[in-house]
This record gives sequence, structure tokens and C-alpha cells, in this order.
Amino acid sequence: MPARRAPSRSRRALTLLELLLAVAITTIVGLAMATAMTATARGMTTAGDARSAVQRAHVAYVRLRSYTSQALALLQADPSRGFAVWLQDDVPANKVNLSELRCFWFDASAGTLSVELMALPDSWTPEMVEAHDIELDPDADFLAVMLDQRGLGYTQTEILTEGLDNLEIIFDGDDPKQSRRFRVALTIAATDSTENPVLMTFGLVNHQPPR
Amino acid sequence: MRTNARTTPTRAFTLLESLVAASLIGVVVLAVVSGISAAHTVSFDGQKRILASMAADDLMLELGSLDYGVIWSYDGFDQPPGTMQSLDGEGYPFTFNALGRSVIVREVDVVEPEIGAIVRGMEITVTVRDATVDLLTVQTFISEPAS
Repeated sequence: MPARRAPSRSRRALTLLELLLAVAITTIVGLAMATAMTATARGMTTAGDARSAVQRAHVAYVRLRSYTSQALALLQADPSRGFAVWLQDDVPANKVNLSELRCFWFDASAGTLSVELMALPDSWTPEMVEAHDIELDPDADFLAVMLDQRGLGYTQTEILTEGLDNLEIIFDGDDPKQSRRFRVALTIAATDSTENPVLMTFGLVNHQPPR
Repeated sequence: MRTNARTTPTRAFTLLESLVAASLIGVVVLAVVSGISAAHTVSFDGQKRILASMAADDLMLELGSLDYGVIWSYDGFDQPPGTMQSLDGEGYPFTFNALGRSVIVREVDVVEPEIGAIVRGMEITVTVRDATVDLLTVQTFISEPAS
């Protein structure tokens, strides 16, 4: 009896049903992977934004603290403009002199918080500087005074932080000068329109209202 | 006798091969996901510590602005996670929700070697924590005011 030849395996094409099934499975797996990767990427972006916002808030906090930790009083707080601080009593008289004033401006359109101080020309003699460094009335509009100096070209400004959506100064009572503590509520902007609110509290250890 | 060269038959993967391949892919995917997850955890932890340092400094500055005699009353002060407020009652926003803080005030004498004097005062310790661990502790010394 002749040995039976093993039948050669026939190679056939895929049927339409098999092909459709394969395409459907591949599509579903591909879609799932794409969704997972998109979600991961979005999550990483959001986390990165939040991290960046916290870091910016911390930078703002450290810079503001460098001014407020030794400050004597919160002189003025204007929700639409900013706030003014009596930094120190260098010309001791329990009065605010121009050189002792620091104004913090919140620019809503640029999203920046900056500090402005008097800066007189280097060419001025000490007598000229002293004559210009006048005592200010305790009830003066300190922000307007700084704006006047800016108009004369006698100030310099430094940006403390960028990317702010909102800034609010909160203090107890009616007169900021009597307040030994105040709070700065910031909202840091993020690229995905999420809000990152931060509260900073400042205690004036050397509190001394001007006379 | 002539033998015909047999063509290698095309065969499918065996179950074992498929399982090995699937396991390898699984291990690689798991490693990548673990890496991303670990990076997230570290990043979130860093964020929390930055906020913790702000919360600790906030409270320390606020306590420093109080009268010496009043600060003693804050010994044992505690704000559990999610309930932080400034001393004036302003609530912290949700960004700080994971954090809580506490205060310990104790009387200490500090020897000032340069002038050979003992300075009496208080040591304030502020600890910021989350739900499970202490994240940060800061201390400061405030000398007793001259009477």
C-alpha cells in the first residue's frame, strides 16, 4: 500500500468577515491606546501647570516677604491698583518719607505684580536727595504720590511675579495702617484655564503706624 | 531514492509563545506606567512641600505679630488638614486642602556666649502635615520683652 502523502497545507486568503473583524479589533485597540495617551498627556500638562503655578506663587511669596517681613505698616490698599507699604523708618521721625515708601502694583491686563520705589539720579548731591525726600502725610494717597514721582522720572520698577489672574489685599478694620496682619490672595493663571488660588498671610512683626 | 525538499510549513504561534509575548509587553507597559506614576507622586509631593513651607512661614509671621503674652495661648493650636485659616479667620483656598498645621510654644532659656548672658524667651514650633505624615517643621525663638 503506497504511503499516503501528507496533504500540503493550502494557503488561503482571509475572508471578508475575518478581515473586517481584524480591522475592527485593531481600530478599537488603537483608539484605546490613543485615548490613554491623550489622557496621560493632558494629565501631565495639568500637573505641570499646577506645579508651575505653585512655584510662581512661592517666588511671589518670597519676594513679597522680603519687603513685608521688616515693614512697619501697610499704608494703603486699593483693590484696583495695588498697595503701599512703609518699609522702614530710615529718617527716624515716625513719619513716612518718600524713600521709605514701596508701592506694589497689580496690572490685571499684563498679569504682573511689581514693586516701585523712589530712585533719584546718581548725579544729585546728598543735599538735593535730602531735599527731595520729603515727609508724607499719614493720610496721603501714597499710590498717587508714587505716580507723581514716576511722572517726574524719579522711580524704578521691578516685576515681582507674572502670570497672575487676580490679586486681592485683605486686612481687618477700616484703616490698613492699624492692621498688624494682612493677607494677599492671588490667583495664578494656568494654560488650561484652571485656577490656582493661593493665600499668603503677612504679619508685621515691627508694626508701627506712621504719625 | 530522491527525496523532495519539504517546504517549511507556515504555522501559527503556539500558546506558550503568545503568552510569553503578552507577558513581555505587559511588563514593559507596567514599567512605563509605574515610572509615570512615580514621577507624578514625586512632583505632587514637591508641590505639597512648597505649599507646606508657605503655610508654616505664614503662621510663624502671624504669631510673631502678636503680643508676647498672647502667643502663649497658641500652644497646642491645631488646624487639621483641610481646615487651615489665617489667625484672623481667612480660610485657605482648596490648593492647601491637603495640609494642616499645629503649634507648640514652650519657654526656653538661650545662653548667649558672647555676652555670657541667659536670654529668656519662647520657642515656637510650627509643624505642617498632611493626612499621614509631618511634612515640615520650623522653629523660631522670641525673646521676652524688656519690662
